[in-house]
Amino acid sequence: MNSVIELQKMNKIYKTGEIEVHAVNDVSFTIERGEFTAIAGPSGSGKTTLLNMMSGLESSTSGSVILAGQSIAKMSASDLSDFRRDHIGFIFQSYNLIPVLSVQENIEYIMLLQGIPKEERRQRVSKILSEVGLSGVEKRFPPQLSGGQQQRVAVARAIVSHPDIILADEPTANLDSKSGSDLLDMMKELNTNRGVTFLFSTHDSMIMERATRLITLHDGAVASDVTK
Amino acid sequence: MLWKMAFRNIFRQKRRSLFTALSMIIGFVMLSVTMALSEGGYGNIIKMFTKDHTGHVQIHHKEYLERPGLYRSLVYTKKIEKIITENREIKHAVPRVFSGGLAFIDEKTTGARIVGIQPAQEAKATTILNKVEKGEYLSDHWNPDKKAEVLLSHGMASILKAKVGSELVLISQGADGSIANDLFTVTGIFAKDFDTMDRMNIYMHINKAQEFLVLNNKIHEIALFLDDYLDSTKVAKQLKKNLAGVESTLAVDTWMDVEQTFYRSMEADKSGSWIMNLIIILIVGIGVLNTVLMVILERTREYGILLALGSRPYMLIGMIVVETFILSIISSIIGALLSLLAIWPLKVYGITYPEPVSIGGITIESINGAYVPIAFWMPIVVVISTAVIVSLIPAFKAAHTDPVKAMRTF
Repeated sequence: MNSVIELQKMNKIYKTGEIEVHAVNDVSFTIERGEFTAIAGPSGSGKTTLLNMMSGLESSTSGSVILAGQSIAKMSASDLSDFRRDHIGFIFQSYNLIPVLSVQENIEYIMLLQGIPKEERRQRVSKILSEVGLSGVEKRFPPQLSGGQQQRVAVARAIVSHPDIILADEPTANLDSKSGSDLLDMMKELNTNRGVTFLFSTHDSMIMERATRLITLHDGAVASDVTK
Repeated sequence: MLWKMAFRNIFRQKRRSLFTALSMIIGFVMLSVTMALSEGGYGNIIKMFTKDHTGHVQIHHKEYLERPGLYRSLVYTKKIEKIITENREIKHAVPRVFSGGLAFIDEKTTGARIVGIQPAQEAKATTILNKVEKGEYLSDHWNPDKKAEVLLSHGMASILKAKVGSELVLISQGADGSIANDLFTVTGIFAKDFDTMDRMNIYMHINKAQEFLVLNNKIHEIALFLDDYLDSTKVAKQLKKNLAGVESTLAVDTWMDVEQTFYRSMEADKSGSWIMNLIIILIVGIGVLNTVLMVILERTREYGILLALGSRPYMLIGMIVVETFILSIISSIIGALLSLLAIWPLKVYGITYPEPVSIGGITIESINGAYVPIAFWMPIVVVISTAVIVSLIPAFKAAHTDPVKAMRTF
């Protein structure tokens, strides 16, 4: 295994007037390719801030992020945007599909930004939809799908461009337990069969149970890091 | 994909798009109707009074226009006629004689403007023949032994209480210094709308006018008629050049020079209509800005997602501007169709002023709109450019959305 992402002494301090809040406190760890890792912790423990910094959506106060062998600290906004597009797949808590785009178009979007030819895009969409169990819904629009189906489309969108890592923030939070469990099974399958690297931010016990590594945050610092 | 998203976004919030489109459509129709009335209306007025009265280009004695007088005359020579005939733009050339006088019918008397015309040529060049409301038009054949006929303008006939067949006495000054006086028969009276320029005109055969005023073969004006009044300046320039070597005492002027006061008043009035245009731009601008800002507020999360997925800020700007652009095109098409309908009654029936309005000496009782190209292309340009420019402000705002704040989560 080789490392996909490496965090070194990451800190994030928010200042509100005179008050300083250490949202992330001296966090260091490495995620290897093919891991199925969950970052757990109570609300306000710094999970989301950590994911934001890992993806370059938020800057750190100190420390560095090495993603796919490159430090993202000194990248310009546009370089960071391209880097994110090419190396990271996102799965959000509330699906965050583009409502005016069909399922096929939503999945195609990142590939379109990457300049992948239409024929290849269509082939990949067809294949990935079959893998996430949604063949035949290509032409439907997000509001015509159930929550579980929308999140599966979000997973398909995240992995279709073959990113180095999938960052998933509370992916099951808006789903009922059955849909959540099915979704996790599907992601686990993708992890096992295709070697897709997943990093979850969660406090859902189903994710924690399935994760092969569990990093627990407490007050912004790593409280435990257990590989099962 | 950008166009697809922009297009679908229009139909996503149908009611909001409808209100945005309505502000654009209302602005379009208002501007179009204003243009149709100002540009088209003035165009019609120009066509009407040049066709009825001044012609498009006039040839005079070089001092006549500045100080009109009986003695500032010219002779319509064969050379001048040849130069005019050779110019293909000129469709008709009519000679005229003018003088002042005093008119009497029974105990009624008033000052008059005597106009000598060549009846047949004048009828071909102008609409004079159709403007005779009562009686008959002048006979082209002039018999010096027969009592001369005159046509009265509507205003003159009202003052003198003249009827067809009334006997009219006219007194003036002859070019030889004598007192000119003669008895005439009123053969016809013009309709009121022919009084646009001068309601005190008395028309007679040009030969009779020359005899009455002792002008011999002299005239005061050659009025030239073109197919298009917009060619006036060009034709006047050509004639000036060609006549320069023939007769140095002649001046060639366009209708804009002849009716300077009207022309300047009209131009001033037209430039005043830009205030109206500015108001319309504001209506469209505020309407678009308001709705686009609302849209951006509602779609902040979406813009955050698009940026997080790797879209560049300029793509978001493009998407928002394209959305407004498409909506402005749709609105312009609907606006143009509605304008066609709105202008039609203005074209056919016009707007009648409660009281006749005088613009630079030209009396106008009503104004009619016209289907002029500017009434359509100008609103298209104004509506689309205003909408696009105004949408740039919120588009830039959206493009610089912080994805983390926008998505709130993650």
